[in-house]
Amino acid sequence: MYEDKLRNHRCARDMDSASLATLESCSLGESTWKKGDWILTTGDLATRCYLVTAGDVHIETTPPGRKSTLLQTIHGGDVLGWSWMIPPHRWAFDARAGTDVTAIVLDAAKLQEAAEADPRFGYALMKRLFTLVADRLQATRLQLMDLYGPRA
Amino acid sequence: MDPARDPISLFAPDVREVLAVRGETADTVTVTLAGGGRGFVPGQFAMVYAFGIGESAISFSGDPYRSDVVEHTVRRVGAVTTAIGGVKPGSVLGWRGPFGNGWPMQRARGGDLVIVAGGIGLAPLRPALLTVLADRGAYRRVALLVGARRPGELLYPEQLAEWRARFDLEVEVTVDAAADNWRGSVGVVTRLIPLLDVEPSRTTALVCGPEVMMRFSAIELQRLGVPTRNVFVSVERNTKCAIGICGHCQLGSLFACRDGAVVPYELVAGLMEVKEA
Repeated sequence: MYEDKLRNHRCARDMDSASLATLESCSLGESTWKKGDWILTTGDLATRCYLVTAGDVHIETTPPGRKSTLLQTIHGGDVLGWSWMIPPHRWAFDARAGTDVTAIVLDAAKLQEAAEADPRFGYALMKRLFTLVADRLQATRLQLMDLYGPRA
Repeated sequence: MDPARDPISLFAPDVREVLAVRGETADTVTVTLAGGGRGFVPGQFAMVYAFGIGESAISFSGDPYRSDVVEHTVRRVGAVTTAIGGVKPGSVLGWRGPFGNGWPMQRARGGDLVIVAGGIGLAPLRPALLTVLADRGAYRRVALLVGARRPGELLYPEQLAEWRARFDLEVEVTVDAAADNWRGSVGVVTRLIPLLDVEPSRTTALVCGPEVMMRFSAIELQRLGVPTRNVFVSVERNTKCAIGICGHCQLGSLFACRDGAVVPYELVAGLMEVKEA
């Protein structure tokens, strides 16, 4: 069941069997969070990559002197957290469970080691992560366009 | 344009009494007019006339099964729509219609149906959903995806809550920017499409909203596996005559009033990418 969830996640779909086995070896298993639980917090070391399989995760930030602002919601099939790839390897935003959430947790250090050791796996992983990140960037651009706002 | 219709009615508006005006958001109201919609089908529009100001193409937003009144949801964006949206009960508006093509409700029967609404785009899709709910057994899975700018700008919030409470309808709502007390989804409506639990090959999709939103929605639907021929959008142009004569609403070789407003996405996909002045 859990293995099926990993194989069917957008981050792993259609991976060759060797790459899939490497990805599975980096997995720490499945975790769940109740609605309202914090999943990761700004400034903490980014040591995990989360493949969300169910539920909604709110990406938030709390500017000084202001209330927490909900920036974007990610859903099942998305990846949460890519700051582990980018120095200084610390979370740039907060992530809170908007509903009950289930995710497959990957050890970020093992992922990086495996990608360095096996470029084929590294490319397969990065290709999929890049697609997910690009989707989020496109969506963010659409949000910025204020599509439903008054016409100029 | 129905050649069997009285040709005079195509040009000369009826005078319709305003029965009710319901505020929807800060700049949008739903106007209820006496007299029916002449058997309109979901997706069609009427030309609503603020006497002395001008006429505007406004989609039907109410129940197509009601023959005693007709509803139009109007967003105040210019002089004419501001005048239409500023009427009071007891005043009158001009009205001629219905015009244009409707959503392919017959084609959607027997399969899964996805309705994707962005902003005011929910208004022309509401009659489609009411049609579905009046004959729910004729459709398999039905999903309504709604996007809005902010929580306070969601159209028909009470009705959305009613629809959400149904067990035979999937309703997902998202906003582009959250208010302090909003704990729902934040993001563009296109992000909800990959979450759909439908059989793509048997799915018909109805999409209405800003053209950029419709274009990206169609792309996401295609990625999901919904055949492009099953995706329908509603195009809007500067409609004047509404009967395919003046050419103001021309979009490529199509006239939005005569060949639309509802068109198969595959007919307009390329046109939507053309930069217009």
